[in-house]
Amino acid sequence: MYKVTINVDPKKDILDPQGKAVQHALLNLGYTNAEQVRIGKHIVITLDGNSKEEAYDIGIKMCQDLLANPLTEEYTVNVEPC
Amino acid sequence: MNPKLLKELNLHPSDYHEIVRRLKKEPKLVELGLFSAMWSEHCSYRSSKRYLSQLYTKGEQVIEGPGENAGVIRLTDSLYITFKVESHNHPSAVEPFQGAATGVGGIIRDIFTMGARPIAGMDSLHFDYPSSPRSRYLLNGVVEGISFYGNCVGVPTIGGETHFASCYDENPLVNAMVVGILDKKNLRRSIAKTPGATVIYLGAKTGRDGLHGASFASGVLDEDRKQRKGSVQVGDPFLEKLLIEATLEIIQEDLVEAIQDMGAAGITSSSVEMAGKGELGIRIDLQKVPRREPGITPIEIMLSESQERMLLIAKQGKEGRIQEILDKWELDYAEIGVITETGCIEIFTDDTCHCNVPIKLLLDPPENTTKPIRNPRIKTTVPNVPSNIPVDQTESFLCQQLKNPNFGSKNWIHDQYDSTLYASTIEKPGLGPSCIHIPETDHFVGMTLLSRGELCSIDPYEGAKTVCAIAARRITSLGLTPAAITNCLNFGDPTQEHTMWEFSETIKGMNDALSVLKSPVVSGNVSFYNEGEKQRIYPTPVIGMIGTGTLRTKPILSFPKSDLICAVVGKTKKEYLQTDSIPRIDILVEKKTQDVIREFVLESHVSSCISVDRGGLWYAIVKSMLPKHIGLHIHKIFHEFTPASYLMSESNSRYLITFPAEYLDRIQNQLKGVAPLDIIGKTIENRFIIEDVMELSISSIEQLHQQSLTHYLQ
Amino acid sequence: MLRVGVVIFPGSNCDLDAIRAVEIGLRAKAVPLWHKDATIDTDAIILPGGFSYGDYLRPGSIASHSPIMQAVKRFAVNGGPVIGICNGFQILTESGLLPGTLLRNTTTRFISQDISLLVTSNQTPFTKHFAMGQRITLPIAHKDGNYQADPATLHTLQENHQIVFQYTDNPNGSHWDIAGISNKEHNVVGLMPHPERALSDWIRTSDGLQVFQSLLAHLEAQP
Repeated sequence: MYKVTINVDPKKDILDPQGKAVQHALLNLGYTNAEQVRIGKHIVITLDGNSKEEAYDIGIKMCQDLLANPLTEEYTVNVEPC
Repeated sequence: MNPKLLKELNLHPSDYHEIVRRLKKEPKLVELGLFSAMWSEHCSYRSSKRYLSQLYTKGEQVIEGPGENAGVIRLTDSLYITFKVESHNHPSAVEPFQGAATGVGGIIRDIFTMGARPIAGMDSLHFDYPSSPRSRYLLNGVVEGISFYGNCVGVPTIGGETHFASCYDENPLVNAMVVGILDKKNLRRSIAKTPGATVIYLGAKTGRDGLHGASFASGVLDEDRKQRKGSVQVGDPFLEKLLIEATLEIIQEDLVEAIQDMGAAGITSSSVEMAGKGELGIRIDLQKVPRREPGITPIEIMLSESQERMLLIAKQGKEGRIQEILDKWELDYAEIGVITETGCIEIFTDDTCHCNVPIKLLLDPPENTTKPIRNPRIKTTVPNVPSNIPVDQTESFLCQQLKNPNFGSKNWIHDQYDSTLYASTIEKPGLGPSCIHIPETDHFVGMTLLSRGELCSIDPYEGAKTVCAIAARRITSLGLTPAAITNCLNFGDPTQEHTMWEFSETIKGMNDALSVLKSPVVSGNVSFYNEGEKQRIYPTPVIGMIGTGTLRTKPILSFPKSDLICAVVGKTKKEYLQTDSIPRIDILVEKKTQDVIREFVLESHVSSCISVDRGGLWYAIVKSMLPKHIGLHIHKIFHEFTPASYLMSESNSRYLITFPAEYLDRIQNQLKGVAPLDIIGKTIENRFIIEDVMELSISSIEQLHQQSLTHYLQ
Repeated sequence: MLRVGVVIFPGSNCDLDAIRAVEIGLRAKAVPLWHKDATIDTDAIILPGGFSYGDYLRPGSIASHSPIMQAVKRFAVNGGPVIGICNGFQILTESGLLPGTLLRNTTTRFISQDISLLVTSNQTPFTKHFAMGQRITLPIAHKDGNYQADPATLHTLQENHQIVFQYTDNPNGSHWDIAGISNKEHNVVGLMPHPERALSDWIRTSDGLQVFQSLLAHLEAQP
């Protein structure tokens, strides 16, 4: 069994309204050194795979098929044995 | 001339040569960028201008016709209504959620830039049948995008239509309409007036939104930077809400000479158009423009389509107060330029001049001279509608119609839209027209957004006339009077003669209907190039009609109770969609009938009234039965029809009404010489019966109706 | 004349309806309160619906830290009547003035519908005019209305008669069909449905009027 950890984040150039609003709120709470906030998704999948490499490939494919919107998001995949 | 650069800018070589000829020199990169934007079909209307100038646009209620950000009509001596419909078809095909969201955002800005509070929205959506996975993906994304943006920004979506046909598979249509209300003293236009006036940028920072794959540096395509693609436009409805409140405050305090939202081609179109309308010039200092990307280049700034930005021209001395209001709402404020007398647009970064061209040249592209000629080889893809359904197949046929997602319940869609915000919406969406009450008055505004692409595909002239007639019919069923329309004209490739034939016939049809219905065009939008490699869409003029009036009682569209006589006003003929003909529309009969029906509704001579249009009588009956589960017992003799053929006829100028028996004489008298009255039966509890033919419970009809769309979406 | 404050956060959009409800239902003066105000001088407070801060991060989370919430807390602690409608309810839970939390609807979609409710407490200033178990219809319009709390909290709500409204046909997965609750002292109420949109039969239901008439009766009875 493998633990596949996926982070899906807005692409660098893309507007992140949520991140912007949260940064503003942090500034108002006194966190004046918060320069930028980007908000993404953290997905953890327990996968029954044959090898770490296979689990990684499946993770990538899941991102391409469903978990990330290729127009607006980018993703990273990490695999560990359970 | 760099062919690659021209391709990236979507500029035809012939346009390039014309630019060189007019400027008498090679244009600088930023100048070329401005021409590519202002001469684009979307900004310039170069293929449609000469037809649109013939539109019927005059009326005594009209305050502002086409040419401003939105059309304006008078509601009362002190209140105006403003409205417009716009398309966002191509972005929605690429990224349906953000495409639809930013489409809604864009049209909302066109409304509040006039000084109006947006109070209602409607959408006309067209996809391939939901049996296709791609169609489901688009439908889900678009509906969620409209829901996300409209609900958050605070504009209730109260009606519209969703239509399915295979011709839209590569080219979905997403047309969004918004209505706003304003005090007449707050009406603002987008015409620059005073040389020396400060040009102020407000709203979001500028990023690379909308610059798909185009990146530039000093006239040469930088190979490394080519890899960095432009980004999809992302909408921020929260920011837009702040922008609405700040803009309305600024306008109400009379701090503004002119104001326009930054829509397509952002800073470029808004600055060129505002200065151009006033026959003045504008100078922009790019280093003052708030930016989201540190390395953004001058041409990128000028062409960026970052959302939620406005450009305003301040009244002299009011800049400080404008900044105070923007500070309150925590919005960016930047003085980016000044109105000049040069008649040119000058763009600088410090002392470097990126652009200096006469605005007149930017606003005057070579017209598309494709002649409007019908191509008889292009056939409609609309299938024949069966016209003679045997009696023993009545029940199965009618149930089959309910399963068609075009006729079924759209609750799945409109339950995702907040339709009760502002506590003014009379009915839930789904019955046809929508109606809102204007608080603190006894005025009501009715609205409907609709199209009949399949009719227009068979006969664009008669089809366009019919769509306008149906819009007025629906407004009339509310007891209101048609006042004006906005329109979104969705067509194929404008370099094809057949497309321009469809377009010119559509304009003729609209004019011939609207001049009789006394409903001028006050605003609109054109979307061309809705054509893929395999399919072209039906020519789809989408008409958004507004009606006004005062009402003493609530308009009742559905059956209110049992034991009422149910009748059809208007002649039902054997008329169905065929590949070479559509039901006739006699616009004079339509108008005469409307005037009588309106009286019936206003004087409460009828207990309910609903217009008969798409789906014929069957659909009108279903819509009338479901809300209160009041059914119908049909006991008429069908003569030359079979029962289902009668119910499916699509003859025009008809209404389904109910009334108590004691009103029969009065109704018959008032209809003499106007339209026939065909009594079909009586309303009853809970069942739908055609005497000696079939019987169904309302619950079973409701189940089929509810599932027709959700069946595909589970 | 009685004064009812309507707090306006950036992104609130039901403030206009709330103000109109105060003027029609209460015949009182509606006082718009800006989210940065430090003091409140009204007889009651409404936190209206909408999308404060775009619902970003968690609905109501950023608004709950607005400066005015300190004054709202003081007002509530002193027994003043406070009602949070929809986003207002979310802000009250985020700021700790009401227990529990509002999560995403189990359908994961926004729901806009007229919904049937039971009034299960008439001990609050906003429900005095209702009969126990009275059935009413109000519109809902939300994506995050699923009320959840831990078992101990739910137990307390029940024991103290803090459940004020319940759905008869649960649209969003709320535990025990909870549509609205109050605090222990019954002076702070939060509900997801919109009474300020239900003041007239022209607009389908006028059942919301009783909420404001209850408040009027409550305020008039104060010394």
